Amino acid sequence: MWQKSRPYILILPSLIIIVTIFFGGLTLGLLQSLGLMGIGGDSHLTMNAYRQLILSKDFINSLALTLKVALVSSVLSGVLAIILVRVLFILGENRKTAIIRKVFQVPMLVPHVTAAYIIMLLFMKSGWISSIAYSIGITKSIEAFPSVVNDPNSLGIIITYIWKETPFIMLMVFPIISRIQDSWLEIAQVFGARRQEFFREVILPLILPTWISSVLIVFAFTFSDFEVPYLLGITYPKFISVYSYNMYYNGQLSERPLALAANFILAIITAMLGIAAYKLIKIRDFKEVRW
Amino acid sequence: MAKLELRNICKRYEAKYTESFSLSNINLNVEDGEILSILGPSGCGKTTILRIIAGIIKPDTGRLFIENIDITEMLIENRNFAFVAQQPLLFPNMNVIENVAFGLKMKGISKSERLNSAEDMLANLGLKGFEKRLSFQLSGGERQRVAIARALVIKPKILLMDEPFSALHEELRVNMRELLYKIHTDNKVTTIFVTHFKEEANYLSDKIVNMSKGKIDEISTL
Amino acid sequence: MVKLTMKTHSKVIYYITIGVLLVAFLLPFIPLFINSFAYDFRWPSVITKNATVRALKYVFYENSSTYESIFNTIIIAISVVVIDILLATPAAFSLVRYEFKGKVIIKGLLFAPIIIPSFTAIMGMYVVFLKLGLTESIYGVILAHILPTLPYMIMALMVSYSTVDTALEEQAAVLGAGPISRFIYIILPHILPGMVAGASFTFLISISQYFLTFLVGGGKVSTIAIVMFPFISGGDNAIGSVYGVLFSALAIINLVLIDFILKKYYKKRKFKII
Repeated sequence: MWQKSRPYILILPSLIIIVTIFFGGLTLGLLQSLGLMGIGGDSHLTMNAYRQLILSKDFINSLALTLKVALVSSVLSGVLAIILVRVLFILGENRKTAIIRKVFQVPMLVPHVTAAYIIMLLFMKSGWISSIAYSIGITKSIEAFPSVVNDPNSLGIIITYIWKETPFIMLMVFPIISRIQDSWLEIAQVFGARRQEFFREVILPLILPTWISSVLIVFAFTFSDFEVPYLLGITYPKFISVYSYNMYYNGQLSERPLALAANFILAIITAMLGIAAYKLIKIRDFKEVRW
Repeated sequence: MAKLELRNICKRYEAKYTESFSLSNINLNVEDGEILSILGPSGCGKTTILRIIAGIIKPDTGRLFIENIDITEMLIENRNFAFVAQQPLLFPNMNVIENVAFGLKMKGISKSERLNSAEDMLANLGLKGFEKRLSFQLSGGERQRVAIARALVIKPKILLMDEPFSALHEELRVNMRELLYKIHTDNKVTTIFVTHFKEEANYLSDKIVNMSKGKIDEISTL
Repeated sequence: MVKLTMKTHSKVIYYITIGVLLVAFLLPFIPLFINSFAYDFRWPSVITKNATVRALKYVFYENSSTYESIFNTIIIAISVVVIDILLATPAAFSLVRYEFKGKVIIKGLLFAPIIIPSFTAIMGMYVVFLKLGLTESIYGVILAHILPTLPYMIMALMVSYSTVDTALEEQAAVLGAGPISRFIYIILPHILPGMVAGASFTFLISISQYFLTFLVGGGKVSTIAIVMFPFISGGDNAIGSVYGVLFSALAIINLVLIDFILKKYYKKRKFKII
């Protein structure tokens, strides 16, 4: 009997922590958003919070903005990652490219708060790039420099995410490329394929599932991130995470269920993205067994 | 009384990518101090028998007896056997003498005592001076000798050897079997030796068990 | 076999592309450094004319909370690493070695924090934390940091466990080693690289947390991220930059340390199965 339950016992400590704190927290959040556990002793099950959210212009606009930014950031990061990976592949494997590859990973070391700040220093109207532009004569004043941070298009946020997440996607894709390259490159070259063609015909299709699932992971992350939009976003519309935070801490007690309802919706969306990403990675594993 | 007795051992394997495999009605007696060889082609089940004796695999049916005591359910680590495989399987995070002394450490023997015993055993196998080396600094034959030293130093009830010399080239194989024979003459440890080389079996054994396709064909005494 | 080589001129195009992008990637660090030493580094100065250590002085000499925040950040991160190792080592072992009912679901539960943001759980959990006295306490923050880090530690260890040669374990068992001995002498030395990788990543994630630390610590538990915040959301740029550099330095030290430890480890034990 001891033998049979051993696997469960080994997992138990980790599972307890995650289930009680993480899922416990999500559940409590859900319950509070449904009107239960009211602070003033006033609890009854109600979909009020959700109804209010869906009807709220603020929420819908937040949702739209967050989705848009997440989509743009993740896709652009993905595309940039592929471009970089392709260029690095074409340049071949040597000391130089190995170092270059490592250098591109540097943004991953920097925490998102710092990254947002760095981008701000670069791109704000009184920032460094603006200074350079003025000195060269491209712009004539502080105001002439385009709004990149704290702007309605969330450019600063997108740039920050691209800077931080492109290395991540590259990191996910690298191991697969090196495996493919070890096995098949020389044979392909005998058949007359240059590196560019090998990349397009062989590597690209094979990294596709992993690439898509990495993009999904980045999407889920940028969609739910707090620190970057808090620093670089504008006052309206807010990102969903900032919206929820604002409502919880700066709003009235009665608005708390709304904040938690927004959180729950956030959690559901990211969970679904996670499941999709997982299924895609499994396809890749299956494909690999075949060849 | 036989030292080791296998009674009606059966084991069936459902393999995913290869054919299924079946060991049926294995009955075997091994006498104290003898060298018994199991001879047969690849895939006939001889390695499986060895692993069942060691306790690594559980048989589907049948019992295992050591000096008349039923050990079929006994855990691997309690059997006090020794196993030398085709690959030396030296522990990579330990040097030669730590490897050899490992079994003694598990028995709770003091550090100085076990290092002494290990040193002596290494000398017996012609490896004096190799104590501090790491496995990658040894040749194939040297590694196998360390593996044998590690097995013998614990004074096992039974020494199990699974094609221990098959990975070595022919001249080395001959040297190793002669070394083994000499060591066995000195300490008379009960040995079960699996091989597919007839000359090896003939040279070493007191008894040869011929196997094919999961069954014992013939047992001959020399 | 004739290897086709690229013509030199087309390779140049690629090098230029990489060069440009490289600069773009490293560019952001420049103002950070300059700012730290800047006296009145304001628009439109491209390079500061007056170098000063004012900001450095403030951060490291005048502001007492700097040292407290550095201390807290490191203590929290190390605690999280230790707890994660203790939790993840058995869990990863079980996930790699055993098949059992509900394994897929359990895996999903354990890895969920990678994709679902932890703040959703923490905000929901706030009332309970409050009741348990974990808010505004370093213990609560440590507990909260476990959520986003544990899954990565489990993953790193799973990779290591999957490369252990069971033949070695069987050999150890035959030589008399019970399950605990086998773990200590055979398995543990083997999973050390995975443990170090997981620890490094966990450390990085923990020191980078702002929101989680803020939610639980309420501003009372000061970490580098917390102390840095007011300066970067529209405060003194120079000071903010110094904190930014401090942060990056910590992360780089962490990485260099890990690299060094791993190199020493691999040199000492040439890990070939022989």
